[in-house]
Amino acid sequence: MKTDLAIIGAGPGGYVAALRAAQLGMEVTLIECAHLGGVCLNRGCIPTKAMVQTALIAHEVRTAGAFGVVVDTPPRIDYGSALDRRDAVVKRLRNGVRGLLKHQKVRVLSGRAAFTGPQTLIIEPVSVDIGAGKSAALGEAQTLEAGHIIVATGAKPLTLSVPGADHPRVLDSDGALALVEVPSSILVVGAGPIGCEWSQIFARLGAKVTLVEMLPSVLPRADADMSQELAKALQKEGILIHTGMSLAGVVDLGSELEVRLTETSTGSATTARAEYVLIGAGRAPLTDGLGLEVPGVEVDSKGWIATDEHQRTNVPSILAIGDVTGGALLAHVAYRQGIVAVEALAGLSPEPVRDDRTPSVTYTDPEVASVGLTEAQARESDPGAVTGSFVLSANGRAVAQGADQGLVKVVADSRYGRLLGVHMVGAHMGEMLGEAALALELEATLDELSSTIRSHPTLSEALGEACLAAQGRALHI
Amino acid sequence: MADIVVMPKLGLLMETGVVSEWRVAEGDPVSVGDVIAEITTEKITYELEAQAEGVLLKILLLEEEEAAVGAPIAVIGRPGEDLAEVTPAPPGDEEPALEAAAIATTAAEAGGLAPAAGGPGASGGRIVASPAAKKLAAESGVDLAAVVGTGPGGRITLEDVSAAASRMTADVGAAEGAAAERANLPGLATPVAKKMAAELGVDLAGVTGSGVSGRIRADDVAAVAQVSATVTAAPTVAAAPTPAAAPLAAAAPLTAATVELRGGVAEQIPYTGMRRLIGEHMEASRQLAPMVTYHALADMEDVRHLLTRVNVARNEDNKINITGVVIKATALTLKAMPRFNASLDGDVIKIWRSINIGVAVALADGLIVPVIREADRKSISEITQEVRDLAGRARENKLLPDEVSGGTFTVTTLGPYRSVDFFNPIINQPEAAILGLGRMHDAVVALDGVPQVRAAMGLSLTCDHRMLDGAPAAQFLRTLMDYLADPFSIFSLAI
Repeated sequence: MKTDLAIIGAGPGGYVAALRAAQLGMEVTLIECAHLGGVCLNRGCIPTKAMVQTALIAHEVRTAGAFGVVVDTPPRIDYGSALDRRDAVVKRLRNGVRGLLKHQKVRVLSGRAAFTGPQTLIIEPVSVDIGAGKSAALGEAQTLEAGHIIVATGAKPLTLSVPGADHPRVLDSDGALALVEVPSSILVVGAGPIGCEWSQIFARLGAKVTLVEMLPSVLPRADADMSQELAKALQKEGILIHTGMSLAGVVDLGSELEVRLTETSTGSATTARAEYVLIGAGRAPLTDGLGLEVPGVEVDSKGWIATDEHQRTNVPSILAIGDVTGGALLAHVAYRQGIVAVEALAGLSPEPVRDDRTPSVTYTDPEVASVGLTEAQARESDPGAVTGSFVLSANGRAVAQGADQGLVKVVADSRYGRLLGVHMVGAHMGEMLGEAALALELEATLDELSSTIRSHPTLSEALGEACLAAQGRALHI
Repeated sequence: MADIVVMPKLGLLMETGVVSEWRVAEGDPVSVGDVIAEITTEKITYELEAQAEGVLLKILLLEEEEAAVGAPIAVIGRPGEDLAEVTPAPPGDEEPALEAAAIATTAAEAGGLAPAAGGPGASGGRIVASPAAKKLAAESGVDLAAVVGTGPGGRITLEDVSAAASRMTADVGAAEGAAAERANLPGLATPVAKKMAAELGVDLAGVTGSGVSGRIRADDVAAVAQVSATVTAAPTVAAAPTPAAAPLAAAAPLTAATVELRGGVAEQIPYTGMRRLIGEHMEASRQLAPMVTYHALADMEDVRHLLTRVNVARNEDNKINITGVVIKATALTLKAMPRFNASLDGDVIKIWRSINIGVAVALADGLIVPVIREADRKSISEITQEVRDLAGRARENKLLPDEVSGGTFTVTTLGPYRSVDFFNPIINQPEAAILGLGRMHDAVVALDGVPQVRAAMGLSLTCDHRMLDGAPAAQFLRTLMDYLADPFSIFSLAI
């Protein structure tokens, strides 16, 4: 078989690259060894968000009395129904991806691809049905010759090499999704977005949750004010947080696991107990069996594929996008990298993905939404960088909604008031992030942001007020 | 019947040309022989004359835009003539068909017969394209003349070219069509870019935007400010051997304070065209060649006598001059020392068979180097005549590319300004050496132990040390000085 462009992996990066390439007139073959949509749709963002919603409703029902809605009997969690709904959500979106690919006449092959040369692949059949519709289902291995090949195989959970980490009740995020009942207690290792989201989901569904982070704060990469605000919110819901501690080992005590922890700064040891341990710490490139060494694709010391700004690897015919290239492991980064890769192949001049303009959201309640530089990052190059914050407790809509916890913070340069970063904690802040990302993309300054008229009462007013605060003229605080 | 004006082929090697200036506006009458445009190639500027009588109906190539040799750049015809009548190309010949399509399109615009596809803002009919659009067109083989611009003023956007490229290879999707109809916003600058431009005194009109639809961003303004800072810095010429790969010192960026100290920007001269070409050639030469300049004072007393003796009997047009004498003497020196008539090409030094001497001619803003071919076989009179003719036509932009190509050695003179004796000329790549001439002046010299006043002239010979060491350089100057000391021998020899 021959094709203009072969894409290995039908996750967010791969399927979007396929759609864009087809739009540009290329003949595209997309190879997937599991489900269309990749980790994001099947085992990551989407199913987790379905569970976040179940947890949110449970929380709201429990607190409904404060709003004058009295629920006489305490709510009961029917976890099986929650999982059914989650799976239906995933299936519906997966069918959507299949429809899009079919509409653009992308050839989808089910199988596991391996390089046999810089422009050739062998595709071994896999047993899983990927639901690829009319596209060819492989009975035997076949070879594919492609003008260009994009590697979009993604990443997998990192396995920690500590004693007991292979215990069946030590889970990664895949394992957490596979649980059929809510654990009575769970210790979550790693307070990044995945760890924080799962901690709150399980806590709201009734588990006793302990959250452990090696670095000094939850969401260690976020702006310090955001980390602090989120930690307060999680603790308020009964989650026990231990920062500055790392996992030393897990011992099976029968019904419970004993988790051995080491304090990072002092080295002193302590223990905790839980029915389950969830490890949400780190991911590694998924390149097993891909044969990157055959064409000689360069990877870094941790195995991530090295690319240039247009996603080209050191081998001219091979590109790589998404998680397998390391960096920010985010679906929307993969989306855009896929578009950049394909447009560059088509001779267009796509704007490379810029880390300092990539938004990210942690779907806890309150949500944490960020784009651009944190205050600390901005100060590295511009010691006089200005900031302005506005707390949601002074925002009308937030108070009326009973969701007044959180704040909006802006970071701007000292010279032009150029917006450098926006960081927000609060209900629905992820939905407000688009305005901030657009402002960064358009190189807006505090002047434009504070003179923009926003509806009252909305949460978005908080962004305008934060900008006014940065200019020393906030009105509502 | 309308006539199509095409990009002329001005030399064997010419593939594309740029219209640097239209001398006639659309709608103006033209006669045969009228200069209608100024064409610039890699090497020269040329005045294009009309070959037909009538009215310049349509300009198809905007100033500073490039076109291939033979591509239509304008249409001359009767006033009000329907351009669609212009002969279509024979069927099956793809390129001319595209050209015809372009003319038909512009005709439709001009006559208001039909709206240009997706181009409500299209007007004027000149072909303007964004830099990205041009780049994509070049890469994907799309003829810009056949693309209908959807931007304001008919500007061709990246999307237009992308759409045209898609049409060439595949059926274009509905989404792409919608993208092509989207109006772009050239010249828009981001808020940060505007503030930065105001502070640094950068004129946004001269900034090319790198953002979506040509939007000017902070980086674009910073880059322009950086370039101006580099240009302002006085260039220096090294007299000692320079490592070939010596990194250029990074110029300090312009800041508000330093702009203010200079009293703000009085004028901004675009670093484009010939100015930039010279700049880039000089910079490249400096980086490439380890250059050493050797200075010597030549006795020109007998040259003065020769000029007086010969010119007294000649009318103004036939008089010989110092440059002619020195070029002849140099040509003979080169014949005796062929290593100076050479170029370094990879791992070989190529000694050229012909002795073709380039003569640097100063223009209003820049310089050009027309070439005297086989100067060793020409007389001083012939050489003087030829230099006069070439320099005159150079100043009128009438040189052909072949007249400025193929030099093997260059002579550059600052003599007429009567100030400079010695300087450090930079080699005209890929030549091995260049000779600089100072002013002719009276010098007191010791002759046979007696001080005497004699005519003298400074010689500045810059050699590429990769090919030529100090000893041959000194020898070259000695040989040349001997010829100059006895010019009657070479004058009679060559007549």
